[in-house]
Amino acid sequence: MSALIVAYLLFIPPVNGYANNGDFDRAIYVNGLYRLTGKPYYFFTYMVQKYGIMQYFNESSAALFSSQPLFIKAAIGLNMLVYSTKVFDIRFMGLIYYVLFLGGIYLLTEALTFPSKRWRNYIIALMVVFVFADSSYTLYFNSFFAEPGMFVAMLYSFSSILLLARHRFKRRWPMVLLFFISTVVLITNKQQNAPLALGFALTMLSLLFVFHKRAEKLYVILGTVLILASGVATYALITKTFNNINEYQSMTRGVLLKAKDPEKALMQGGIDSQFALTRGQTYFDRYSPIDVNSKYMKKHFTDKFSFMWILKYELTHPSEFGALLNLAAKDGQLTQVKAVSDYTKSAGQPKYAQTHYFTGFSTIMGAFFPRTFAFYVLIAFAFIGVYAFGAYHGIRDGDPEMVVRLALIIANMAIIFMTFIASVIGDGDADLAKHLFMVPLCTDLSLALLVSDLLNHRLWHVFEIRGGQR
Amino acid sequence: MKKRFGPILLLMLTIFSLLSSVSVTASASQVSRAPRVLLAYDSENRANDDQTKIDAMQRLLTSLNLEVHTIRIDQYHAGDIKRLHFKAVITMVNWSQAKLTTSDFAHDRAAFKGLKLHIGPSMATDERQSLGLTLSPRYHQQYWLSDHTSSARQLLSFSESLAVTTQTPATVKTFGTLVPQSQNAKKVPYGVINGNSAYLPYLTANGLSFIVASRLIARFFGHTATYAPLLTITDVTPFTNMDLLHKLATDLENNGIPFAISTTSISVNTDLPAYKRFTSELQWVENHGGVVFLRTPVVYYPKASTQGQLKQLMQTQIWRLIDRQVFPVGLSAPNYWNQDLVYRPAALSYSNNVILMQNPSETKNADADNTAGVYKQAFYGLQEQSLETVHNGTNLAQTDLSFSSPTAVTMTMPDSQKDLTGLVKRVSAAKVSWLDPSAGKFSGTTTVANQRAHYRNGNYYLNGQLTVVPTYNPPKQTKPAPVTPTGALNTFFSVDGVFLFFFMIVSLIVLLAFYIVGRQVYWRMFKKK
Repeated sequence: MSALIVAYLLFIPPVNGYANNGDFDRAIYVNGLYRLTGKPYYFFTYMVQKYGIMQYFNESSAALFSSQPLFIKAAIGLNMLVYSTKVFDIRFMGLIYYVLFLGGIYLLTEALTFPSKRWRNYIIALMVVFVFADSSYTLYFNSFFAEPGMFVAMLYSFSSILLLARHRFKRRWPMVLLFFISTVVLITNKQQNAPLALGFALTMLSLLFVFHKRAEKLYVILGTVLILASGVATYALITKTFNNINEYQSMTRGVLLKAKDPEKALMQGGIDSQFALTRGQTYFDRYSPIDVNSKYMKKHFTDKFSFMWILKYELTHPSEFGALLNLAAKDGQLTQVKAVSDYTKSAGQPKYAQTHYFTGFSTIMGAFFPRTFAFYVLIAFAFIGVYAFGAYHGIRDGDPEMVVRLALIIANMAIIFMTFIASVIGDGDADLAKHLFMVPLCTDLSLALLVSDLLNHRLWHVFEIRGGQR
Repeated sequence: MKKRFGPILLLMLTIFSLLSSVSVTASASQVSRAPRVLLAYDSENRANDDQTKIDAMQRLLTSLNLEVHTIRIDQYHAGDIKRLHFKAVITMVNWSQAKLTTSDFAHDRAAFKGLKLHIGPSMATDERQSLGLTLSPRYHQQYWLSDHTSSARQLLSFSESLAVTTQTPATVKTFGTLVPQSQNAKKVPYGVINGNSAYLPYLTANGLSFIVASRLIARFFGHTATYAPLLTITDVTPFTNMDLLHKLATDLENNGIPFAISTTSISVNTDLPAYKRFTSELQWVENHGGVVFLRTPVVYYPKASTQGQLKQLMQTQIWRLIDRQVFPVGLSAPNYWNQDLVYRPAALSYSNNVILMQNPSETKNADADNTAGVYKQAFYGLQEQSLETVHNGTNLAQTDLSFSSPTAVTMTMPDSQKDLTGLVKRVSAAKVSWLDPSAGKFSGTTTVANQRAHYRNGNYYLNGQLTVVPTYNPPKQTKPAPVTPTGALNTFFSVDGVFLFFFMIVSLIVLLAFYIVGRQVYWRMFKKK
């Protein structure tokens, strides 16, 4: 069902996807693609389906270290194999993610339903389709954004750990490997994902409850260390330019935007109060009173603060930090990128046109999910409380699944909070909807787990097959 | 009654709209019907930085109130010289080896009877005939350029080949003298004008060569006046150290040096005290021998369709400044803004005074049209550093130079007290008679919406009314708190450790507890067996 729904969206004309908001350029040139010359190219207003494949030496270097090129290179390879060596059709990008997505959806459904064989599982399967085949997620496939990589990787990561805990397969190492690879791909996909390594490391560590042999435990610990290392590497390999952009916007569109007295905020941090006049500016303002990259700006402004400076400031000004987090929470469930079009120009739609095809779940969540940060705190406590009770039973009854599930939920909640914090600290209120991508995804996965566990009556106990067999 | 009032009302509206349009035309900065000059070049030759010569020529010609049309020779359309009624054709050769000429251009130039100036090597036959002088090649020479007017001299860089005029009849006007270092070789004139033709063997965008070349070009177009340079402090922004700006204005006034500042401004955040402080310092400048030029913003990503955005931005900036009783006497911009169909009307059309600065290494045109705007008064922005040629001859900065076109000698806003002291010292030591905006013919008008700020004889007028710039009253500012130096790791553990890992540590403790309990339960199971 997912295959049909998503294939219709991505591959059948009019082709849908997301238009370029400027971020594509970071991904296309380093991977040997370019905007076709002699043909109109659109930013925001329309998505562009065809790109050129460089036939000459590519001198572009990556603006940031990322696992995203793995997906793009695969798509280009497939495109060159079956379509053209000179023109790239973005549907091949969509096809790569689509195939991976279908595998992920299968594993997720299997993880949420195994080992029960009840009619209720059809409801769970339908729910999975309704939630995760939502176009707000799948539109990303036909784009050069990094998010679709995160989406499919998260599906695999979440499902594989659950399948391991539920002993779906006799051979456990393929699932461990799948969890490890998908997690590392997810963490290294985007700079903002670096802190998420902590959450995934916790999940990996919980496998100590599943494996009992010394050698297996050693591998689990090694995997945990490697996941943490991938987070550190992602952070450490952020290019200076990329860092400067984010730091600048964290200050101008974060600290200064919400500060009651922006001049005082700067002066307390040892920065000339005149820079309060950068309040609300972005790094990419078309017209600016000063070159953001100038020596003067570096010497007197951007070199005088760091993410730590901003974090310290936010922590010492909880009301302003809270306001920023609430601002972020407003966008917490908005998965569909509203700033860009979902159609090509040839589709005959107006500029910035958005598709409403199969967007029921994201529309409901966007409209009804409470838009305050406090609600996320509340929901986190509720989830952890419910699954902690289950984990207690699990430990008492010797069922490691329950502990792993708790770790998974804790990790999901941690990812939600870290994403919120990393977004407002890392880039202020700029591009919030995109930066918060992991928030709705983790919320949806946690909710799907909760609903499936409720339907199969295994919230606090391991599922029991008729006859009392576990 | 209605029938009678209708036509009267219509007539009044017509008169009012006519009057409005008249006032708009009067306040518009661009001078129409200025003589047209075609500047045709063969190549920008960026490897040799020769685009700076084109930039210099464009600005120089604009400062002489000429309408410059710039074109690369291979893009010339046949018949344009005649069709556009050019007063003069300037041929600039920057890359003679490429031989980038077209027969169309050469043919039209040969037929052209107006003023012809050739700059650089490879003078064509028709130009030689017009000039009527013999050019002799000189190989492997290094010259001193000597200028009798200013008694200055400058050592030029080594030249492999230079075509010079060895015989100059009395009717030929010469400018500067090239003195060869080898004693056997003969002194020759640098630039020559012979009737309707002129020749410069080379051009540089700075130093004594430029001063002499600009004199030749000014005379060639009939300008005989000399101009005192306007000292202009550039790179002032709303983020500049306001204490330094305050002190700079004070020190310059104390040394009797009139000056101008070229500053960018902002259209948002004008409610913040920092903006009030910025404008208070600009008022201080206005009250202490200085005038303010509003600098156009820095362009990050040019786009033709954003003309409206730029227009709105500029108008708001000017309006806000006037509201704070800061009256810009003109505008300043890099030269490429004046060669752009988008920028010119949206940003440079509010004043009759413009300072054209040297282009940055990367220009960001929105829609380059290469037809320069003309203004009542356009200053050629000349970096003061480019006059510092003490190692190669006379220190021009300490020479009583007179300029042949309105010139703004620019100095960058100092960034420290040490820089400020150095700047004031250098300016005070200069033998230049600086242009005093508060005296003489200098005037400036900036108009936006219904606000018209005018400056003349040291007085500011707002919509015709004499206005007194308020005395200095900035908002209170405390100094930035000194930052105690701490190690990066200290900060990391004190801040990040507390918050970012808090959640995870608690979770780990919970998991550990479960693990311990779990193991106990597990062992208990064995014990039972």
